[in-house]
Amino acid sequence: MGNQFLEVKDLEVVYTQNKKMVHAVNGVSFSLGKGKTLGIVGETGAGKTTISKAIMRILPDVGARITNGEIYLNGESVLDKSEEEMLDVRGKVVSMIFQDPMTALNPLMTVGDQILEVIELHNDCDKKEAVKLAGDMLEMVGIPRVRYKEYPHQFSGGMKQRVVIAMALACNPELLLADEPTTALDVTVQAQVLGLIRDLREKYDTALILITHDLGVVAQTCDEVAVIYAGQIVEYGTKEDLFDHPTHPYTLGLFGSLPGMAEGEKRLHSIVGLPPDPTNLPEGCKFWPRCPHMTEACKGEIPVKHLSETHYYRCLKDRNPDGTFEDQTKPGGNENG
Amino acid sequence: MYKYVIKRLISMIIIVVCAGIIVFTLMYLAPGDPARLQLGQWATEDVLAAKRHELGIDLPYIVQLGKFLYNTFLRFDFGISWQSSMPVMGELAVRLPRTLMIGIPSMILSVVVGTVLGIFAATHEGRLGDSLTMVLTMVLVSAPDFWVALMFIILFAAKLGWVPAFGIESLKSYILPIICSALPVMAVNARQARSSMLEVIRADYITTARSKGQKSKVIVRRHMFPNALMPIITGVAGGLCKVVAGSPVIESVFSIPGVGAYLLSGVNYRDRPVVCGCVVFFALFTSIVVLLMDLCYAFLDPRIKAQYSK
Amino acid sequence: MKKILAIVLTLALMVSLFAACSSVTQSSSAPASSTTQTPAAAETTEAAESAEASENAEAEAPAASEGRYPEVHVAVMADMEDLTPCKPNGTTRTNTFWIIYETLFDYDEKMNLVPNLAKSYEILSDTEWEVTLFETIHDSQGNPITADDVVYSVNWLVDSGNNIRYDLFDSIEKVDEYTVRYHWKDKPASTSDLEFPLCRTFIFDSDAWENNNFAVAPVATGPYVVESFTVGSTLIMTANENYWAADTDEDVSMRAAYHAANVDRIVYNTITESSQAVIGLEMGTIDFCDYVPAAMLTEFEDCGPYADQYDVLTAPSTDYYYILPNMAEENARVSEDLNLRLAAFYALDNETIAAVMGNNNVPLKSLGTAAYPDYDTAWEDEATYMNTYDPELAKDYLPQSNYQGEELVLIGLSTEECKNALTMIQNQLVQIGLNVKIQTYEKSFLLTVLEEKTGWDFYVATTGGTTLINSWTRIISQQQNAGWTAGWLKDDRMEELYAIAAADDTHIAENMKICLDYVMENGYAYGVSGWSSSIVHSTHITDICYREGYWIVGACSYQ
Repeated sequence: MGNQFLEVKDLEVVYTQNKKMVHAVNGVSFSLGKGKTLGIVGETGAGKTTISKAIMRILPDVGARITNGEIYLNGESVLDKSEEEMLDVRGKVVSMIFQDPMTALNPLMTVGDQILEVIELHNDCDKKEAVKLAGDMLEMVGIPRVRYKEYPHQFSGGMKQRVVIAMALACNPELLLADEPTTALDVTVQAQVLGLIRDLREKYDTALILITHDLGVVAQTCDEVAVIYAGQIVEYGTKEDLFDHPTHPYTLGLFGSLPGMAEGEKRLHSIVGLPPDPTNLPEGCKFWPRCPHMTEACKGEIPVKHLSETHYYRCLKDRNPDGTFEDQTKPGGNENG
Repeated sequence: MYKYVIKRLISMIIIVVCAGIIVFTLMYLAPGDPARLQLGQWATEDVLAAKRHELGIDLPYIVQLGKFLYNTFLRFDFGISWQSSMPVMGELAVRLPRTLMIGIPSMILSVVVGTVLGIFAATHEGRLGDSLTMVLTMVLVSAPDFWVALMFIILFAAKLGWVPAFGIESLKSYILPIICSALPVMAVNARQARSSMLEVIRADYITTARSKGQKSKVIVRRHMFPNALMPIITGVAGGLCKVVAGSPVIESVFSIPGVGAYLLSGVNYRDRPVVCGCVVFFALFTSIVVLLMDLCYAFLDPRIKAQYSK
Repeated sequence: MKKILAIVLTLALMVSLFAACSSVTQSSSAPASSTTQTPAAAETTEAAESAEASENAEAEAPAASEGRYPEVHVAVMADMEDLTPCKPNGTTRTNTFWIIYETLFDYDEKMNLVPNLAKSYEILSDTEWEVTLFETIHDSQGNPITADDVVYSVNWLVDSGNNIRYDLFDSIEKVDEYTVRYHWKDKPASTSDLEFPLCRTFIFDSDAWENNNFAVAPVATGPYVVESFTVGSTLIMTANENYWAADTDEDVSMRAAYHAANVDRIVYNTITESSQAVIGLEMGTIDFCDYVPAAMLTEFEDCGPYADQYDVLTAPSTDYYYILPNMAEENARVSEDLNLRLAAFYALDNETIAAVMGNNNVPLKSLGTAAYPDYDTAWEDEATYMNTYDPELAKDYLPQSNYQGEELVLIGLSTEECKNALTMIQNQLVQIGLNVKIQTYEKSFLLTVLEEKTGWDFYVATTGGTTLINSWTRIISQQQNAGWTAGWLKDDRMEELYAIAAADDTHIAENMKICLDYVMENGYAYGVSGWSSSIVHSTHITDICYREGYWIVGACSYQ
């Protein structure tokens, strides 16, 4: 029990889909300090969105269950709160930005009214005051106030995302969950949106969990990084830890797949194999089917190894400072020092 | 927006005129001699010829068509029924209120109950409420409406005696026809409402709304329902058109002298003015309803409104 | 904005609902397009008058001396649609028109003319008849009926183009206030030739016609007046308190008994669905129905649950099914081939055909049913192909014919009953080696097909009429198709024999037998089966009154 702003311990989430159990999150623990940024990196389907939805408790009612774990926000257990209490938390203490701005807004409500909704839910001011505040938020994200009464279809993708950001930050939340906010946008817009998020964060001192699969975005924005694979954190550390000393074979694979600008590569390198079927996960280390260094022992208990106070990873192998592994039975794969 | 409405009104006129021409031609080509049908098997040839002349059916096709179009669309005179020598327009005017007396309450009932049932099923998806509702609607959709009507009559009219079995003497006589014609449409509406609500439930903007901390009931009302409404409105418009066509089956079973029964008897007697009059009237009514429905869409969904204004 | 729209729409719907309400009550209380006063004149009720009316108007039927039976509800299958006095086709109109309107004469069972509005007639010459009216006739509104009105009604019918079977009619003229003279084109062979001009033409007052819409509110001389008529649904009649025959001094005792008004109020409900009619009987909302399906009759018969409230009257009706061969010259394979026809007819067994048709169909033993006054049951004793089933004999005839195996077309109506008959007939013909195809048609289409001389070989049809010879018109009279019979037969000898049998003075059993024998020698027709109709009626109706085979509710006896 730390004094961190957000604490997540051993979180497990299971979906029931077509009578099969999907193990989306399998024992995730991390913590986040006030005003800090955590980046959660991983492939599609690794469970990143599920974690953030679990924190807000907006998992779909039918089929999804938190089967284990604890979540503490400001010292209070989130999982023990009643639905009514959660209504006060959502939008006010914790808010979320979604991946696809094209569908995240209600097409039949004006953008202003959608921001107004969150303001009215959590503030006791009168309507006029609230409308003014909503207009202020629009201005703050760079949309002229006069566009209050326009509908989402009249905005471009980037602007819609700004509206979503405005909605998320309207009530000054303490924690912002950004689920791949720039994935659906092109690169120039991406820079703008990231910049906007950063500015507002600094202004309001909001903690941020940024979910992405884009390592470049992580490099720009995050303090700490968690690499997720098959619902588990396989490596965790500060930005410097991870970028300078990536250790877990999966992390290595991720970095290895980034095309280098200098070397004039002809083919992209990818990690061999496919992500595992979440209804039927491998025994032991979830990565062994694709790991170039795997041994039989990988199918058993996998310990967590700390490389430093801030940096840990989940693997049987020890990594030497020079980048090689002990118990290396075969060379191969890409190793970046 | 006004340009759109004007365009629609013009195309509506064209459609109704075309419908008139088509039905006129079909009735013209239909076998069977109206003169012989009216005068019976004892009539001799010269009497028949005189009758045909009186009815105006011995003129060439184009002339008859021309007269029909002129009378119907420029003088609003649907002609005189061959079978009963009563003006068709007058008869329609008398019968339409009866059909609407069944039709409009039936439509309201089916829409309201159907939509509520559908929303109920959608919000309880996968649970007992959903399954029960779906089984019920399946039964109602599959059961033939005259069978359901007869069963109801036997139970409520004959055995319990709560309502009269046929005719239109009192307001109570309309209760069973309304319920019987509402049930299948209600089932269809419920299914439609359920599936469109389900689509909406999974939508991203619902997650957004939840993440704002909005209460479930308000989400259903303010976010889900308006978005799910469009297919429901289509169902409503379709139901209304069907209702005016009068469900000849229901009218026949309950002996309601409405528009559907009129059309049915017109077809049986090859009574061309009646059939043409009814069909033109239906075409007009359907076009107006569809136009209103499209305008409703425009009011509800700003995207569609923008489309129309282009 | 949306809220306003929603409110406006809701209001519009509610307004239309209420508008519908008010028109409903309007139409059920008074005919929608009637502009005249409702027959208020008829409502002056006096007990003395009604007692007199029942006494005078009919001598035989026991009068309800305390007054009339209050109300009876009758279920009818098809709507009358239009009460204009020119199209008395369709059974429903027959049942209703005859108590609203009256004609000059009626027929008795022997086809003699009986006074109705006319008290006598005189034959001045072969082509001139003089008819004298009663002098105190007036319609329900008090308009007197005179010779002018008779001329007016007849000419109106001719002008309207609805004057069917008026072949002998040439003209009519007024002689004096109460006498008219008819001019015929030719000497009428029998009174049945004058059926339509004298007995089927309704007489009404010319002023009444001009001032009223007879289609929904006729004003006429009959024992009942129309109180209201909702097209497609209900026809309500009340006894005519101003009935001329009830308070006249003239001797009206020769008039037929069915001009009585024994019920105060008759309500005809149009119920197309027969199961609904049964429910109506069970619920007690209907007192009289003649189309209860055979299977449901047991409920009302002696052992059924409703036996004490209802009686069932089963009577053989006069309508029957027959088969007509196509005798057109162009259709030589049937018309020139007597052996083929005889083979076909001997191969048929109308007992099994009738059984398969269901619905109380009774096989015919000769060409007609015993319900006819001029049917002689002695004919059944002789063995003919109609009462004999002899496939062996049929097989003997077949090789003697020219049949080469070609496909013969058998046509009929597409009703359930007829289809069953056709299928059985086909079976039986196939048994002896004929190749037969069935084609069923809807009524209007059927008439068109018959007008072609080829394309069909045998036709299963129904016929009926007031007398047997009358019913044979359809089968063997060459007036049907301007010189040919309905089956395209042209046989002068046949026509001769028919004319003899039909003429009034020679209309005797012997001549009919000669005619019948000729038909059967030549295989011109085959009698299949006759209906018996069942009427389910409340026990309050003690005796059903008939007019030429059709029931007249107003004149039945009540208790």
